[in-house]
Amino acid sequence: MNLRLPLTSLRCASMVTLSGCVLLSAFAQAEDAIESVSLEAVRVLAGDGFERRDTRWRGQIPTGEARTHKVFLYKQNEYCFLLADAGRLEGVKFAIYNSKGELIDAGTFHRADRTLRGLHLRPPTSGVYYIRIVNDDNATASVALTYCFR
Amino acid sequence: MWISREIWLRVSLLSRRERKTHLCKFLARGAQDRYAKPNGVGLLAWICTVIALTTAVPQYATAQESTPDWLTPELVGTGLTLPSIPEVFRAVAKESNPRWRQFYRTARPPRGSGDRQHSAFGLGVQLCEALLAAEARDSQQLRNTMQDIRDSFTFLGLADRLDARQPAIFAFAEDQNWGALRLEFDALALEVAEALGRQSDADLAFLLKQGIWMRCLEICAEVSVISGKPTGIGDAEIYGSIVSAINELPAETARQPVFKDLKAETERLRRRWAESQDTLPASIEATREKVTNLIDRILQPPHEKG
Repeated sequence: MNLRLPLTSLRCASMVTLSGCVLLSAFAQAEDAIESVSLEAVRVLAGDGFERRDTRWRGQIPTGEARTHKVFLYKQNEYCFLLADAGRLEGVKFAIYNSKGELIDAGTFHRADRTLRGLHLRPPTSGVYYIRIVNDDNATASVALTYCFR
Repeated sequence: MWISREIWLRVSLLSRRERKTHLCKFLARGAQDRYAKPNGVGLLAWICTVIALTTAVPQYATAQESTPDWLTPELVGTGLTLPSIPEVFRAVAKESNPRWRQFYRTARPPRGSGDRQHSAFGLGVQLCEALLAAEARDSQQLRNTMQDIRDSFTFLGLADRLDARQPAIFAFAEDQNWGALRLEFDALALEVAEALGRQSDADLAFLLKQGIWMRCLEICAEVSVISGKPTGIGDAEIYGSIVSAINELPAETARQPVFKDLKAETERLRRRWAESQDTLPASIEATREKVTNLIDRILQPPHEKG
Protein backbone atom coordinates (compact mmCIF):
# COMPACT_ATOMS: atom_id res chain seq x y z
CA MET A 1 0.00 0.00 0.00
CA ASN A 2 1.40 3.36 -0.99
CA LEU A 3 1.01 5.58 2.03
CA ARG A 4 2.93 8.52 0.66
CA LEU A 5 0.11 10.63 -0.63
CA PRO A 6 0.85 13.89 -2.39
CA LEU A 7 -0.58 17.04 -0.90
CA THR A 8 -3.41 17.54 -3.24
CA SER A 9 -4.01 21.24 -3.56
CA LEU A 10 -2.62 24.68 -3.14
CA ARG A 11 -5.11 25.24 -0.38
CA CYS A 12 -3.66 22.32 1.50
CA ALA A 13 -0.19 23.73 1.00
CA SER A 14 -1.33 27.10 2.28
CA MET A 15 -2.79 25.36 5.32
CA VAL A 16 0.55 23.72 6.00
CA THR A 17 2.37 27.02 5.65
CA LEU A 18 0.00 28.96 7.84
CA SER A 19 -0.17 26.31 10.52
CA GLY A 20 3.60 26.20 10.37
CA CYS A 21 3.67 29.93 10.99
CA VAL A 22 1.71 29.28 14.16
CA LEU A 23 4.27 26.73 15.26
CA LEU A 24 7.23 28.92 14.43
CA SER A 25 5.82 31.91 16.23
CA ALA A 26 5.56 29.72 19.31
CA PHE A 27 9.31 29.87 19.72
CA ALA A 28 9.20 33.61 20.21
CA GLN A 29 6.73 33.16 23.06
CA ALA A 30 4.76 35.94 21.41
CA GLU A 31 1.29 34.81 22.32
CA ASP A 32 -0.35 37.69 20.48
CA ALA A 33 1.47 36.72 17.30
CA ILE A 34 0.41 33.07 17.71
CA GLU A 35 -3.16 34.11 18.18
CA SER A 36 -3.26 36.44 15.21
CA VAL A 37 -1.55 33.98 12.87
CA SER A 38 -3.81 31.23 14.17
CA LEU A 39 -6.93 33.23 13.44
CA GLU A 40 -5.56 34.15 10.04
CA ALA A 41 -4.93 30.45 9.36
CA VAL A 42 -8.48 29.63 10.36
CA ARG A 43 -9.84 32.32 8.06
CA VAL A 44 -7.87 31.05 5.09
CA LEU A 45 -8.70 27.43 5.86
CA ALA A 46 -12.43 27.96 6.16
CA GLY A 47 -14.13 25.54 3.82
CA ASP A 48 -10.95 23.60 3.10
CA GLY A 49 -11.74 20.68 5.37
CA PHE A 50 -8.40 20.49 7.19
CA GLU A 51 -8.50 21.55 10.82
CA ARG A 52 -5.57 22.21 13.11
CA ARG A 53 -5.33 20.95 16.68
CA ASP A 54 -4.65 23.67 19.18
CA THR A 55 -2.47 21.31 21.19
CA ARG A 56 1.20 21.41 20.24
CA TRP A 57 4.39 20.10 21.73
CA ARG A 58 7.42 22.29 22.09
CA GLY A 59 10.77 21.02 23.23
CA GLN A 60 14.51 20.85 22.91
CA ILE A 61 16.29 17.79 21.56
CA PRO A 62 20.01 17.53 22.34
CA THR A 63 22.43 16.31 19.70
CA GLY A 64 22.15 12.61 18.98
CA GLU A 65 18.88 12.18 20.87
CA ALA A 66 15.31 11.54 19.82
CA ARG A 67 11.82 12.18 21.15
CA THR A 68 8.85 9.97 20.38
CA HIS A 69 5.19 10.94 20.62
CA LYS A 70 2.42 8.41 20.88
CA VAL A 71 -0.68 9.42 18.91
CA PHE A 72 -4.01 7.75 18.23
CA LEU A 73 -5.20 8.06 14.64
CA TYR A 74 -8.45 7.08 12.93
CA LYS A 75 -8.42 5.32 9.59
CA GLN A 76 -11.38 7.43 8.47
CA ASN A 77 -9.34 10.63 8.78
CA GLU A 78 -6.48 12.12 6.84
CA TYR A 79 -3.61 13.71 8.77
CA CYS A 80 -0.90 16.22 8.14
CA PHE A 81 1.84 16.36 10.82
CA LEU A 82 3.88 19.52 11.06
CA LEU A 83 7.30 19.93 12.61
CA ALA A 84 8.73 23.41 12.99
CA ASP A 85 12.46 23.77 13.58
CA ALA A 86 13.64 27.19 14.77
CA GLY A 87 17.29 26.44 14.07
CA ARG A 88 16.67 25.22 10.51
CA LEU A 89 18.95 22.28 11.21
CA GLU A 90 19.70 19.86 8.41
CA GLY A 91 20.04 16.92 10.81
CA VAL A 92 16.56 17.14 12.32
CA LYS A 93 14.29 14.43 10.92
CA PHE A 94 10.90 13.08 11.78
CA ALA A 95 8.98 9.98 10.79
CA ILE A 96 5.89 8.00 11.71
CA TYR A 97 5.90 4.39 12.89
CA ASN A 98 3.05 1.96 13.48
CA SER A 99 2.31 0.27 16.80
CA LYS A 100 4.85 -2.47 16.02
CA GLY A 101 7.60 0.08 15.47
CA GLU A 102 7.67 -0.32 11.68
CA LEU A 103 8.39 2.78 9.62
CA ILE A 104 5.34 4.09 7.78
CA ASP A 105 6.58 7.33 6.29
CA ALA A 106 9.14 10.10 6.80
CA GLY A 107 8.61 13.85 6.86
CA THR A 108 9.84 16.16 4.13
CA PHE A 109 10.50 19.89 3.88
CA HIS A 110 7.55 22.05 3.05
CA ARG A 111 9.37 25.33 2.97
CA ALA A 112 12.50 26.32 1.15
CA ASP A 113 13.99 27.90 4.28
CA ARG A 114 13.93 24.49 6.01
CA THR A 115 11.94 25.73 8.99
CA LEU A 116 8.97 23.47 8.45
CA ARG A 117 8.61 19.78 7.69
CA GLY A 118 5.37 18.01 6.87
CA LEU A 119 4.14 14.46 6.77
CA HIS A 120 0.89 13.52 5.12
CA LEU A 121 -0.82 10.30 6.15
CA ARG A 122 -4.01 8.37 5.62
CA PRO A 123 -3.71 5.67 8.34
CA PRO A 124 -4.34 2.13 7.11
CA THR A 125 -5.94 1.22 10.44
CA SER A 126 -7.23 3.06 13.48
CA GLY A 127 -4.90 2.80 16.41
CA VAL A 128 -1.66 3.86 17.97
CA TYR A 129 1.18 5.36 15.93
CA TYR A 130 4.48 6.92 16.97
CA ILE A 131 5.95 10.18 15.71
CA ARG A 132 9.71 10.09 16.18
CA ILE A 133 11.84 13.22 15.97
CA VAL A 134 15.58 12.69 15.72
CA ASN A 135 18.32 15.28 16.04
CA ASP A 136 21.46 14.14 14.19
CA ASP A 137 22.80 17.65 13.98
CA ASN A 138 25.66 19.16 15.97
CA ALA A 139 23.43 21.66 17.75
CA THR A 140 20.49 21.25 20.11
CA ALA A 141 17.23 21.49 18.21
CA SER A 142 14.27 23.61 19.30
CA VAL A 143 11.22 22.09 17.71
CA ALA A 144 7.44 22.23 17.84
CA LEU A 145 5.01 19.56 16.67
CA THR A 146 1.31 19.58 15.89
CA TYR A 147 -1.02 18.14 13.28
CA CYS A 148 -4.03 18.89 11.16
CA PHE A 149 -6.77 16.48 10.15
CA ARG A 150 -9.72 16.19 7.82
CA MET B 1 -9.08 -27.24 36.47
CA TRP B 2 -11.75 -24.71 35.51
CA ILE B 3 -11.05 -22.91 38.74
CA SER B 4 -7.42 -22.45 37.73
CA ARG B 5 -8.43 -21.21 34.27
CA GLU B 6 -10.90 -18.76 35.80
CA ILE B 7 -8.26 -17.48 38.16
CA TRP B 8 -5.81 -17.15 35.27
CA LEU B 9 -8.29 -15.17 33.16
CA ARG B 10 -9.16 -12.84 36.01
CA VAL B 11 -5.57 -12.27 36.98
CA SER B 12 -4.49 -11.57 33.41
CA LEU B 13 -6.81 -8.56 33.39
CA LEU B 14 -5.09 -6.96 36.35
CA SER B 15 -2.34 -4.38 36.12
CA ARG B 16 1.06 -5.18 37.62
CA ARG B 17 0.41 -3.02 40.68
CA GLU B 18 -3.00 -4.65 41.21
CA ARG B 19 -1.44 -8.10 40.91
CA LYS B 20 1.11 -7.24 43.59
CA THR B 21 -1.62 -5.95 45.91
CA HIS B 22 -3.80 -9.02 45.36
CA LEU B 23 -0.85 -11.34 45.86
CA CYS B 24 0.07 -9.75 49.20
CA LYS B 25 -3.54 -9.83 50.41
CA PHE B 26 -3.99 -13.39 49.22
CA LEU B 27 -0.82 -14.64 50.88
CA ALA B 28 -1.82 -13.04 54.16
CA ARG B 29 -5.40 -14.38 54.01
CA GLY B 30 -4.26 -17.82 52.88
CA ALA B 31 -1.81 -18.08 55.76
CA GLN B 32 -4.55 -17.17 58.24
CA ASP B 33 -7.03 -19.69 56.76
CA ARG B 34 -4.54 -22.54 56.72
CA TYR B 35 -3.67 -21.98 60.33
CA ALA B 36 -7.39 -21.90 61.18
CA LYS B 37 -8.55 -25.02 59.27
CA PRO B 38 -5.90 -26.94 57.39
CA ASN B 39 -7.16 -29.13 54.48
CA GLY B 40 -5.65 -30.52 51.27
CA VAL B 41 -8.05 -28.98 48.71
CA GLY B 42 -7.74 -25.52 50.23
CA LEU B 43 -3.97 -25.77 50.15
CA LEU B 44 -4.00 -26.86 46.48
CA ALA B 45 -6.29 -23.96 45.49
CA TRP B 46 -4.08 -21.58 47.42
CA ILE B 47 -0.97 -22.81 45.60
CA CYS B 48 -2.72 -22.53 42.18
CA THR B 49 -3.76 -18.97 42.88
CA VAL B 50 -0.29 -17.94 44.00
CA ILE B 51 1.16 -19.43 40.81
CA ALA B 52 -1.42 -17.59 38.69
CA LEU B 53 -0.78 -14.28 40.43
CA THR B 54 2.94 -14.55 39.95
CA THR B 55 3.09 -15.90 36.40
CA ALA B 56 0.00 -14.81 34.40
CA VAL B 57 0.78 -12.45 31.55
CA PRO B 58 -1.26 -9.33 32.24
CA GLN B 59 -3.43 -8.30 29.29
CA TYR B 60 -3.68 -4.81 30.72
CA ALA B 61 0.06 -4.42 30.76
CA THR B 62 0.29 -5.80 27.26
CA ALA B 63 -2.24 -3.25 25.99
CA GLN B 64 -0.65 -0.38 27.86
CA GLU B 65 3.00 -1.27 27.43
CA SER B 66 2.91 -2.33 23.83
CA THR B 67 5.26 0.46 22.80
CA PRO B 68 8.18 -1.18 20.98
CA ASP B 69 11.16 -1.48 23.31
CA TRP B 70 13.44 0.63 21.17
CA LEU B 71 10.97 3.55 21.25
CA THR B 72 10.11 3.37 24.93
CA PRO B 73 13.09 5.36 26.33
CA GLU B 74 12.36 8.25 23.96
CA LEU B 75 8.65 8.45 24.71
CA VAL B 76 7.38 11.83 25.91
CA GLY B 77 3.93 12.34 27.40
CA THR B 78 2.05 15.09 25.58
CA GLY B 79 -1.45 16.32 25.01
CA LEU B 80 -1.22 14.93 21.49
CA THR B 81 -1.67 11.32 22.61
CA LEU B 82 -5.45 11.37 22.82
CA PRO B 83 -7.25 12.67 19.74
CA SER B 84 -9.21 15.91 19.90
CA ILE B 85 -13.00 15.63 20.07
CA PRO B 86 -13.53 17.20 16.61
CA GLU B 87 -11.16 14.53 15.29
CA VAL B 88 -13.31 11.78 16.80
CA PHE B 89 -16.49 13.37 15.48
CA ARG B 90 -14.91 13.65 12.03
CA ALA B 91 -14.15 9.92 11.99
CA VAL B 92 -17.66 9.11 13.24
CA ALA B 93 -19.22 11.37 10.61
CA LYS B 94 -17.34 9.63 7.81
CA GLU B 95 -18.27 6.20 9.10
CA SER B 96 -21.90 6.70 10.05
CA ASN B 97 -23.03 10.10 8.74
CA PRO B 98 -25.15 10.76 11.85
CA ARG B 99 -27.85 13.38 12.32
CA TRP B 100 -26.05 15.15 15.14
CA ARG B 101 -29.04 17.10 16.45
CA GLN B 102 -30.75 13.99 17.76
CA PHE B 103 -27.90 13.49 20.24
CA TYR B 104 -28.26 16.74 22.17
CA ARG B 105 -28.27 16.18 25.89
CA THR B 106 -31.72 17.06 27.14
CA ALA B 107 -30.90 17.10 30.85
CA ARG B 108 -29.24 20.40 31.76
CA PRO B 109 -26.64 20.32 34.51
CA PRO B 110 -27.97 21.51 37.88
CA ARG B 111 -26.67 24.93 38.90
CA GLY B 112 -25.08 26.21 42.07
CA SER B 113 -24.43 22.83 43.61
CA GLY B 114 -21.45 24.15 45.52
CA ASP B 115 -19.24 21.26 44.40
CA ARG B 116 -16.25 22.32 42.30
CA GLN B 117 -15.41 18.80 41.10
CA HIS B 118 -18.97 18.33 39.96
CA SER B 119 -18.88 21.70 38.17
CA ALA B 120 -15.55 20.99 36.46
CA PHE B 121 -16.84 17.69 35.08
CA GLY B 122 -20.10 19.38 34.10
CA LEU B 123 -18.16 22.10 32.28
CA GLY B 124 -16.36 19.41 30.30
CA VAL B 125 -19.71 17.87 29.35
CA GLN B 126 -20.99 21.27 28.25
CA LEU B 127 -17.88 22.03 26.19
CA CYS B 128 -18.40 18.76 24.35
CA GLU B 129 -22.05 19.69 23.92
CA ALA B 130 -20.92 22.94 22.27
CA LEU B 131 -18.69 20.93 19.93
CA LEU B 132 -21.70 18.75 19.14
CA ALA B 133 -23.70 21.87 18.28
CA ALA B 134 -20.83 22.92 16.01
CA GLU B 135 -20.97 19.52 14.28
CA ALA B 136 -24.73 19.99 13.85
CA ARG B 137 -24.08 23.55 12.59
CA ASP B 138 -26.70 24.79 15.02
CA SER B 139 -26.08 28.38 16.17
CA GLN B 140 -29.10 28.46 18.47
CA GLN B 141 -28.11 25.31 20.34
CA LEU B 142 -24.62 26.72 20.67
CA ARG B 143 -25.99 29.91 22.25
CA ASN B 144 -28.10 27.88 24.67
CA THR B 145 -25.10 25.76 25.64
CA MET B 146 -22.97 28.86 26.11
CA GLN B 147 -25.33 29.98 28.89
CA ASP B 148 -24.58 26.83 30.88
CA ILE B 149 -20.89 27.11 30.06
CA ARG B 150 -20.83 30.68 31.38
CA ASP B 151 -22.46 29.58 34.66
CA SER B 152 -19.80 26.93 35.17
CA PHE B 153 -16.96 29.29 34.29
CA THR B 154 -18.29 31.84 36.77
CA PHE B 155 -18.66 29.22 39.50
CA LEU B 156 -15.08 28.05 38.96
CA GLY B 157 -13.80 31.63 39.02
CA LEU B 158 -12.67 31.53 35.41
CA ALA B 159 -15.18 33.88 33.80
CA ASP B 160 -12.41 36.13 32.49
CA ARG B 161 -11.11 33.25 30.36
CA LEU B 162 -14.46 32.95 28.67
CA ASP B 163 -14.87 36.72 28.31
CA ALA B 164 -11.72 36.79 26.19
CA ARG B 165 -12.95 34.11 23.79
CA GLN B 166 -16.73 34.50 23.76
CA PRO B 167 -16.89 37.29 21.14
CA ALA B 168 -14.88 35.17 18.71
CA ILE B 169 -17.05 32.11 19.46
CA PHE B 170 -20.25 34.00 18.72
CA ALA B 171 -18.72 35.65 15.65
CA PHE B 172 -17.66 32.28 14.24
CA ALA B 173 -21.11 30.84 14.95
CA GLU B 174 -22.73 33.85 13.28
CA ASP B 175 -20.50 33.41 10.21
CA GLN B 176 -21.09 29.63 10.20
CA ASN B 177 -17.34 29.22 10.42
CA TRP B 178 -17.54 25.89 12.21
CA GLY B 179 -13.94 24.83 11.73
CA ALA B 180 -12.70 27.99 13.42
CA LEU B 181 -15.28 27.52 16.14
CA ARG B 182 -14.09 24.00 16.90
CA LEU B 183 -10.51 25.21 17.11
CA GLU B 184 -11.63 27.98 19.46
CA PHE B 185 -13.28 25.47 21.79
CA ASP B 186 -10.23 23.21 21.60
CA ALA B 187 -8.10 26.19 22.63
CA LEU B 188 -10.57 27.21 25.34
CA ALA B 189 -10.62 23.75 26.92
CA LEU B 190 -6.83 23.63 26.85
CA GLU B 191 -6.48 27.09 28.35
CA VAL B 192 -8.95 26.37 31.16
CA ALA B 193 -7.32 23.06 32.02
CA GLU B 194 -3.91 24.78 32.17
CA ALA B 195 -5.34 27.61 34.29
CA LEU B 196 -6.84 25.12 36.74
CA GLY B 197 -3.58 23.21 36.86
CA ARG B 198 -1.66 26.41 37.63
CA GLN B 199 -3.92 27.27 40.54
CA SER B 200 -3.32 23.88 42.18
CA ASP B 201 -6.60 22.45 40.93
CA ALA B 202 -5.09 19.60 38.94
CA ASP B 203 -8.01 17.38 39.98
CA LEU B 204 -10.47 19.85 38.46
CA ALA B 205 -8.40 20.11 35.28
CA PHE B 206 -8.48 16.33 35.01
CA LEU B 207 -12.23 16.16 35.60
CA LEU B 208 -12.82 18.85 33.00
CA LYS B 209 -10.99 16.76 30.40
CA GLN B 210 -12.84 13.61 31.48
CA GLY B 211 -16.18 15.43 31.23
CA ILE B 212 -15.37 16.27 27.61
CA TRP B 213 -14.26 12.69 26.90
CA MET B 214 -17.15 10.93 28.63
CA ARG B 215 -19.72 13.05 26.81
CA CYS B 216 -17.89 12.38 23.55
CA LEU B 217 -17.99 8.63 24.24
CA GLU B 218 -21.68 8.86 25.10
CA ILE B 219 -22.43 10.60 21.80
CA CYS B 220 -20.32 8.08 19.86
CA ALA B 221 -22.07 5.22 21.66
CA GLU B 222 -25.49 6.63 20.74
CA VAL B 223 -24.39 6.94 17.12
CA SER B 224 -23.03 3.39 17.25
CA VAL B 225 -26.28 2.00 18.67
CA ILE B 226 -28.10 3.40 15.64
CA SER B 227 -25.50 2.44 13.04
CA GLY B 228 -24.59 -0.91 14.58
CA LYS B 229 -20.90 -0.10 14.10
CA PRO B 230 -18.69 0.69 17.10
CA THR B 231 -17.31 3.98 15.79
CA GLY B 232 -15.28 5.99 18.27
CA ILE B 233 -16.03 3.70 21.21
CA GLY B 234 -14.37 0.40 20.34
CA ASP B 235 -10.75 1.32 20.91
CA ALA B 236 -9.44 -0.23 24.12
CA GLU B 237 -6.36 1.96 23.82
CA ILE B 238 -8.43 5.11 24.39
CA TYR B 239 -9.90 3.72 27.63
CA GLY B 240 -6.44 2.48 28.58
CA SER B 241 -5.01 6.00 28.19
CA ILE B 242 -7.71 7.37 30.48
CA VAL B 243 -7.05 4.69 33.10
CA SER B 244 -3.30 5.37 32.85
CA ALA B 245 -3.94 9.07 33.40
CA ILE B 246 -5.97 8.29 36.53
CA ASN B 247 -3.18 6.01 37.76
CA GLU B 248 -0.76 8.90 37.45
CA LEU B 249 -2.83 11.17 39.71
CA PRO B 250 -1.62 11.70 43.28
CA ALA B 251 -2.81 8.82 45.49
CA GLU B 252 -4.87 11.16 47.64
CA THR B 253 -6.76 12.43 44.60
CA ALA B 254 -7.21 8.99 43.06
CA ARG B 255 -8.82 7.73 46.29
CA GLN B 256 -11.71 10.19 46.01
CA PRO B 257 -15.03 8.56 45.01
CA VAL B 258 -15.42 10.37 41.71
CA PHE B 259 -11.99 9.26 40.49
CA LYS B 260 -12.49 5.70 41.72
CA ASP B 261 -15.81 5.57 39.90
CA LEU B 262 -14.27 6.95 36.71
CA LYS B 263 -11.41 4.49 36.84
CA ALA B 264 -13.61 1.49 37.57
CA GLU B 265 -16.05 2.19 34.73
CA THR B 266 -13.34 3.08 32.22
CA GLU B 267 -11.40 -0.05 33.12
CA ARG B 268 -14.54 -2.18 32.65
CA LEU B 269 -15.04 -0.66 29.21
CA ARG B 270 -11.39 -1.19 28.32
CA ARG B 271 -11.61 -4.84 29.25
CA ARG B 272 -14.87 -5.30 27.40
CA TRP B 273 -13.49 -3.85 24.18
CA ALA B 274 -10.13 -5.59 24.56
CA GLU B 275 -11.94 -8.94 24.71
CA SER B 276 -15.11 -8.38 22.71
CA GLN B 277 -15.26 -9.37 19.07
CA ASP B 278 -18.35 -11.57 18.90
CA THR B 279 -20.67 -9.53 21.07
CA LEU B 280 -20.54 -6.18 19.32
CA PRO B 281 -24.21 -5.13 19.66
CA ALA B 282 -24.16 -6.03 23.35
CA SER B 283 -20.89 -4.16 23.86
CA ILE B 284 -22.16 -1.07 22.07
CA GLU B 285 -25.32 -1.00 24.18
CA ALA B 286 -23.38 -1.70 27.36
CA THR B 287 -20.95 1.14 26.57
CA ARG B 288 -23.80 3.58 26.05
CA GLU B 289 -25.47 2.52 29.26
CA LYS B 290 -22.30 2.59 31.35
CA VAL B 291 -21.12 5.97 30.09
CA THR B 292 -24.56 7.56 30.43
CA ASN B 293 -24.94 6.25 33.96
CA LEU B 294 -21.46 7.42 34.87
CA ILE B 295 -22.14 10.95 33.61
CA ASP B 296 -25.47 11.05 35.44
CA ARG B 297 -23.86 9.82 38.66
CA ILE B 298 -21.11 12.42 38.56
CA LEU B 299 -23.46 15.24 37.57
CA GLN B 300 -25.91 14.35 40.30
CA PRO B 301 -25.99 17.18 42.87
CA PRO B 302 -24.11 16.21 46.06
CA HIS B 303 -27.19 16.56 48.28
CA GLU B 304 -29.01 13.94 46.17
CA LYS B 305 -26.21 11.40 46.37
CA GLY B 306 -26.78 8.58 48.78
